[in-house]
Amino acid sequence: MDTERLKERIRKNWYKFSRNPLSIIGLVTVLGIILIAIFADFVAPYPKHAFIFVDFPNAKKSPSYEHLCGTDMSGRDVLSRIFFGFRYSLLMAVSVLSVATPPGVLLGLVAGYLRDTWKDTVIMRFADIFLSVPSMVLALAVCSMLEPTLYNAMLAITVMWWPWYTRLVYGLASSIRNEYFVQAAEVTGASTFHILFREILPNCLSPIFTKMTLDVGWVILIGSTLSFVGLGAQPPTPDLGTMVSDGSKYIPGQWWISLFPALFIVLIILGFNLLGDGVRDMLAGD
Amino acid sequence: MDDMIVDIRDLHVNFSIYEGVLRVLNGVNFRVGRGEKIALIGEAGCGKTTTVKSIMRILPIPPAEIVSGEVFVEGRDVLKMSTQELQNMRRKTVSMIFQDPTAALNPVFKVGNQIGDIIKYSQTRSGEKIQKEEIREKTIQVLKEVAMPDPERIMKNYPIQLSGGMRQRICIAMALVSATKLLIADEPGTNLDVTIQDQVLRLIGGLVRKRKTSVILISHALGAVKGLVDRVYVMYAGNMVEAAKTEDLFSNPLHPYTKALFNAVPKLTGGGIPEGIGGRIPNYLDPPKGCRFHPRCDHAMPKCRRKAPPLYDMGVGHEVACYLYGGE
Amino acid sequence: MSKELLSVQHLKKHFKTDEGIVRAVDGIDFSVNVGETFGLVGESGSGKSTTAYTIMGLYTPTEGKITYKGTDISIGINKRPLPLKKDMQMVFQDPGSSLNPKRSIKQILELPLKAHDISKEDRQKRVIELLQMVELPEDYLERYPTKMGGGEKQMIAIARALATNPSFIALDEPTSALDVSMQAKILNMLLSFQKELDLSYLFITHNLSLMRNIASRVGIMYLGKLFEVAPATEFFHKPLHPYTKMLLSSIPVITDEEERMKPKKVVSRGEIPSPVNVPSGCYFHPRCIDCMDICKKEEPPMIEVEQGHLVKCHLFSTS
Repeated sequence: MDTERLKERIRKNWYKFSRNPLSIIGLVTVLGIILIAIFADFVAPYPKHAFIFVDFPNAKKSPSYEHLCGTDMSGRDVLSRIFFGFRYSLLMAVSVLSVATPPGVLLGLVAGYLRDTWKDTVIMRFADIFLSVPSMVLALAVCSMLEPTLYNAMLAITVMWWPWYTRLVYGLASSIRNEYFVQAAEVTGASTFHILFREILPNCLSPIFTKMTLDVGWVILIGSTLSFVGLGAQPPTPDLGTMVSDGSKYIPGQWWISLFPALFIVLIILGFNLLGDGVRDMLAGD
Repeated sequence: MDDMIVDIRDLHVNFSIYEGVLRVLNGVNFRVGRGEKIALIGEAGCGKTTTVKSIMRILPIPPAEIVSGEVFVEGRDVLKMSTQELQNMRRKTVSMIFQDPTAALNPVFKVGNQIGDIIKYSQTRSGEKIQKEEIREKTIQVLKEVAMPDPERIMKNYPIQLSGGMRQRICIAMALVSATKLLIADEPGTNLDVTIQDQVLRLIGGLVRKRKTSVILISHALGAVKGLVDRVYVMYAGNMVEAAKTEDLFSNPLHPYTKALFNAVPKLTGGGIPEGIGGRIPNYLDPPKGCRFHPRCDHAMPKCRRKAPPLYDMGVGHEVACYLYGGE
Repeated sequence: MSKELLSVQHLKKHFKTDEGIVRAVDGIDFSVNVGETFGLVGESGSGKSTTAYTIMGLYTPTEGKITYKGTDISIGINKRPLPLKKDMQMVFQDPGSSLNPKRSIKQILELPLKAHDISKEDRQKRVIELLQMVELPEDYLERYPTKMGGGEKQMIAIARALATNPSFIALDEPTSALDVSMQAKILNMLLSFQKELDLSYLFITHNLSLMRNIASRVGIMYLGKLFEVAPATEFFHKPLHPYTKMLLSSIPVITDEEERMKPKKVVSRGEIPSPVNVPSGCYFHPRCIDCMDICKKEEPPMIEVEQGHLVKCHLFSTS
C-alpha cells in the first residue's frame, strides 16, 4: 500500500516538475555537476594535475585536443582542475545552507507565530542587525579577522546568510498562524511545539526549498568572490574562484586560464536556478 | 437565430489534469434572446462558469479544450472569431461581473482610473483619441448610474478604501460601460450581506431594464434571482436539465433534480432541515453514461443509463431533459 | 427550564487599530442551555464571529465575563486548563482552510486525541469510529484534504470537533461555503449528534431560513450589540426590533407561503457603518425608519417584552 502511494507521488511530482523543459535542463546540469564532483578522480583527464603539479614545458598552452580548456601557468590541465573545483563549490553550498537554514527558519517560525509581541520584536531586530550590514562587507570582515581559508569563508557566509531565512519564514508564519487550522489546533489543546513544527512549518517548506536551490548559486558566487580577493580557498586548492583570480594576471594573452573557470561558475549557477524553478513548480499546489 | 443574442449548441468542453481528462460540459444548449434576462442556476462544479466563460472565450486553453459545439453571439460563432473580432466583442458587446469584486479590481490603481481605462478602450475606434475631460465626465455619469454617493470623491479612492457593496457597484459600473448588449453576472453579491446583495441585484435589474440589455445571472441562491429574471435554466453536471419561464419553474418544476433542489432548501416557514439529495455529484473523469443524474434519481429507468435525454419541449417555453416527459 | 451551560455577561471585545478602536463586541449578555442550539445571526461586521472566538478563548475579553459550567473562563486559550479545552470545541467557517493541507486525515483526527493523552490503540479505534460517524469510508484516513470536496472537509472538521466528546461546540457559518444538498446532509448530521450526545451548540449564520430550522433560540447582533433575543418561532413570526424586521423582509425565498410570512418590505437604507465610527445613541438609528429623537442620544436598554423575548429598542422601553 505504501510503496504504491509513494510511486504515485513521485510520478505526480515528476509531472509537475517536467512541465517546463528548462527545469529538466537544470536537473541534468546539476546531476552532471554532482556526478563529476564525486567521480572527478575518474572523469578528469589529468587527475594528478588537481593540486600541485609542475610541467613548465607544457604551461600556458592554448585549448587543444589534449587539453580542452588549455593549461595554466604551472602546466596543469585547466579542465581537470575545474572538475575538482566542483567539489569545493558544492561543499561550500551544502555546508553553508545546512548550517544557516535551521536556525534561520526556527527563529522565523517563532517570531511569526508570536507576531505582535515583544519576543517577535527582539528576534526580528536581532536579524536586522545582520541584514543591515552589506553582505560582502560582513563576509570580508569575518574573513579578515580569521585566517583566510575555505572553512572560514564558509563560516563568514553562514553568518550573513541565516537572517534571510528568518525573514522569509517570518512572513509566511505570521500569515499562516491566522489560518483556521492553526486556530483549530490551539482550540484542541495542541502544544506550541506541535503548532510550530507540525502545522505551520510544513506549509512553509515549498518556499524554503525553492529558496535553498536558488541560494546554491548565490553561495557559490559569493564564495568565489571571496576566493577571488584571496580570502577563501588558497592556492593550490582548485577552487573555481581562486582559479579565476590566479588567471587574471594572464589576461588577455592566456585568456583561457580565467575564462573557463568563470564560465563553469556561470554554468553551475544557471543549472541550480533552472532546477530551483522546477522545484518551485513541483512543490506548488495542485 | 438573429433575435438570439447568445445561442450555444451542443457544447462539449474538457479539462486536462494530471489524473486524466475531465469531461465537464456534456452537450450544453443554451439561448438568450435580445433584452431577455436569464438565470443560470446549479450547484458548485456543474459547469455554469465554464459555460459563460465560453461565451466570452476566456477559458484558459490549455488545460481547457473546446471539443465540439458552436457558440453564437449575435449570429457569429465565437469559436471561429479572430483575435480582433473577439476583442471587439469583449469591448462593445458582452461584459462580465465576477463573483468576488475585491479580486476583480486592481488594488494599486484608483477606482476612477480603472473605470476610465474601460471607457477609453470601449468607446473609441482604433486611432480615435478621447479627451481626458470627456473620460472624467463619463466616469462620473456611470458612477451616478450605480447610485454611488459623492462620485467625485469616490473616483480618487483605491478599492481597499471602499466597502464590499461599493466595490461590487464599481464592477457593475465597469461592466455597464462596455456591455451594450449582454451582461453576464457570476454570483453577484454572494460574498456580501443579504441586504447589500438585495441592493446589488435590484441595481442590476433596474439598469438592464433601462438599457434593455440582456443578462445572464448565475447563482446558486434560488430565491435571490426569482424576482429578477424572465427565464431560468437549471444545470447539472455539464448539462442543461430544465429551462422555463421563472413563474413556471418555481411553481411547477419538472426535472427530478430541480424538484430535489427546491426541496433541499430550508424554508422560512419551518419544517426542519430537509433531507438533501442522496449520492454525490459525478466525477468528471468518469461520468455516468447516459443521463448524468441517473445514479441519484428516484425515477431512473434502464434507458436513462444508456443515452442522455434531449431537451423535450413541454410547450409555453418549458423544456426538460428527462425521459419521464418524452421519448419512446 | 433547561440547565444553563454557558453564559456571557456584559461581554466586550475591542481592537485597537490605526483608524481607532473597533468595538467588535460591545456589551452583550446571553446564555446557552444544555442540549439546545443558540443561534447568533447578523450581517458581516456585526460581531457574531468575534463573540464565538472570544468565548472559545482565541481572543481575550476586553471587559465582561464568560461562565462555563459555573466556572469563570474569561481567559485566553493558552491559559485555559486542558480539561476545559477537551470540553469546548469549534467548527470554523471555511472548510478549505480549517484542515491543514499538509496533514493527512488520520493525523488531523488524531491531534485532539494526542493532545489529551489518549493511548495509541485507543486513538486508532477512535479515529475509525469518528469516520464512521460522519459516514466516510476508512480509506479516507490516508488521504489529504486537497483531494476532498468542501462538504467532506467540513465533515472531517466536525469529526475532529467531536473527537474528545465535548459538551459544547461553537459553529461559525459551518455550511455557508457549501451547496444546498451538502448543507442539508451536514445539518442533519449535526442535529442527530446533538440528540445522541446531548450537545449544546452556539450556531452562527447569516442565512435566516437556515437559522429558522436549526436554532431553538435566536439572537441578532448589529455592530457589536445584541438587539433581540427570542425563541426561534417567535423571532421569525413576531419580530419586534426594526432591524430584525428589515433583515427578515429582504430574505430571498422561493415559495409564496414563505413570502407571505415575511414582514412588510423594508428597503434597507445605506450600509452598516464602520465599527470604528459608531453612531451615537442606538447604533441602528441612522438606518431605522422608526427612529425617534431619543434614539440619537441614548442607547436603549434590553427589555424583556414577553417571557424569553428580549428587545433593545426605545419603541419598547417603558420610559
